[in-house]
Amino acid sequence: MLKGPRSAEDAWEEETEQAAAIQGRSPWQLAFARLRHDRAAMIALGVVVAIALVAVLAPVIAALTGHGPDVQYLPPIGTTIDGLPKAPSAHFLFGTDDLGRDVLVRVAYGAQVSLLVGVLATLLAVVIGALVGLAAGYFGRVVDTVLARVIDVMLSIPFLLFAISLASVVSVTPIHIGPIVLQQGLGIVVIVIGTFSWATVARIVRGQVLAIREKEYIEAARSLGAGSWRIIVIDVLPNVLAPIIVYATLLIPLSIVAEASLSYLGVGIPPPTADWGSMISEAQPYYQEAWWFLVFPCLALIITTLAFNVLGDGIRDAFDPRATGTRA
Amino acid sequence: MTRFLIRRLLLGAFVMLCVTVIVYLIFYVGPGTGYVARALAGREAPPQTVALIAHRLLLDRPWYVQYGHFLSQLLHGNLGYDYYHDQSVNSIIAQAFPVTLSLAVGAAIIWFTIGVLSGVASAVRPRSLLDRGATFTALVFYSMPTFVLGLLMLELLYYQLTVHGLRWFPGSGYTSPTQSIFEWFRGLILPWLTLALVSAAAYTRLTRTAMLDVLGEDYIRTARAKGLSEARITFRHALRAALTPVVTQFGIDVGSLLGGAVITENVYGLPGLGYTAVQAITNQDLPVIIGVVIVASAAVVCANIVVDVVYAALDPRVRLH
Repeated sequence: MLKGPRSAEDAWEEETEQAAAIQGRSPWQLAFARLRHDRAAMIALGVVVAIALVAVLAPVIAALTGHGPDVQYLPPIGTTIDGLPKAPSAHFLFGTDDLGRDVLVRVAYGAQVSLLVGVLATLLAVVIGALVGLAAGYFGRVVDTVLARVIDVMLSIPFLLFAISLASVVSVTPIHIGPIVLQQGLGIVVIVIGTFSWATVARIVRGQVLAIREKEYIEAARSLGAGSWRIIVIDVLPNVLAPIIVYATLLIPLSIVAEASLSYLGVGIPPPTADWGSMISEAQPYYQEAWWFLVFPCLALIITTLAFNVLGDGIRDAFDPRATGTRA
Repeated sequence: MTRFLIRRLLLGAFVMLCVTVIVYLIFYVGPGTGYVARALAGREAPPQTVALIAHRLLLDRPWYVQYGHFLSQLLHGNLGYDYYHDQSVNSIIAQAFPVTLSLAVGAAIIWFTIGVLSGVASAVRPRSLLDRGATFTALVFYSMPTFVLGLLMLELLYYQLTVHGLRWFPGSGYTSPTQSIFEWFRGLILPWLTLALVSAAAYTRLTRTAMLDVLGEDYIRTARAKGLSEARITFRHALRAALTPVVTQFGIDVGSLLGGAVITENVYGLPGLGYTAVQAITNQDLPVIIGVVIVASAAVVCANIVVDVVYAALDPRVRLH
């Protein structure tokens, strides 16, 4: 058999063999590999895991110290005879608060509320925001006009004022929506924060979808007879997942700060639940006599939000290496 | 441009209309009938007073009459009557606004200066020690809740200094500049710094990113090739282009601050709009809460319009959208 010039087919086969040896990596694998080499992000991840462990193990910490989160120790053990908080000691490592409760145990329990609200409110915001953004970007026309206006309205609302108003109304008279009763507590805080943060997610997703909608593979799917929602879920959603994940990581610390702010203003999680925001607000009148009462919950809050922000920056840089990262 | 302006104003009016609907839903419909009159009358009011207030505010009429009345009062510039302080809500807001204005403007000047300068310094030498230091510091302040920074400032700069005999800053309260300019300034230094440091961080990050983008452009290379000084390139050529997104954000932030810096005002006991709102909420003083919420939303909407119009004036492409 005559051996002619190398056919295109042969060349292609050779190339694929080489490619197989190199091993293809998905954008997700690449991002993950980049993230693993980002030292700051990995430290931040470690801190986040540690805080989550503290939250989960809060009952264990309480058992080890022998102090429950809501147990009030009488003077002279829990407070001084004058009723002031007691300084850190071997017995109370972080000191006690104005009611003679162990600050260490309460800070540990406070992590539960912060993480729970941070994650749940972010989830709520991301789900609503993604749905609205996908619908607005994909369907366009009237749907887009209406939804874009709704997003505009949500972004013009002063969050904190509305949130405290809503929370305060609810704390006096619980609102009944069908079988659901909204009253002061974790649920309303999650709903309020989620409701006021989805608009940004929706705007980001909408922008991405507008660009993707014009791609050939969407047209191909449509010409094969795929339905709108199938195209949205199978073809569009995976391509907007990266920005959603990046923004969600950065939304968690914002939600944690929002929850702490609401509790600090007295309209968040009601007492006696241990919560960093309400602890700081309780500590405010004592900041001259009892620094530990103020400083430990403050530190817990700062470390948590900082860790999530560093991690979020790292994840963003990992997904988009060309982006000029803010941490260099 | 006129068409753009008209469309933008109409959109602003529409947003404000939506805000009034949401306010109406939250405060009038949500808690159910009876709550509003009860809250307005105060806890100890006899049933006759409650009924009288309900009747005067048309609370015994159907919802569209109520909302129509609420809206027409607003359109006449009447924010209602505060039964708690026996004063009109307009005058309460007029008293609180100068405090918020003093706080917002002072803080805005500080944070814009710090944010832009540190952002430029970072971007000019990326990955240098200065850049890493500045960006990390920015991230720490960015992660810090306003009330945490405020309370730490009070602990360190007010209490510890005062204990050691340095009475530089008062702990809380507000002095009107008509009384004493010096006391006004002294009392606002800590609140200004608190608000400014928390906000400056975002501007450091924003300016740095924008500057790095611009510094990679061809016209910067051209400017270098012409032999211009590095300072002239940085400030006259690059910063000018990089400032657009920063100024946009600045307008929006100042607008939302004019509606009350809720947290800062409460930490330092400054009787501005945000403080008034929280007090009103504690007292269940409904007309004041509604008044502040409406004024604050109007401030945000106006700021957004100003920003968009300025942006459109600078960049003609925006007008087409």
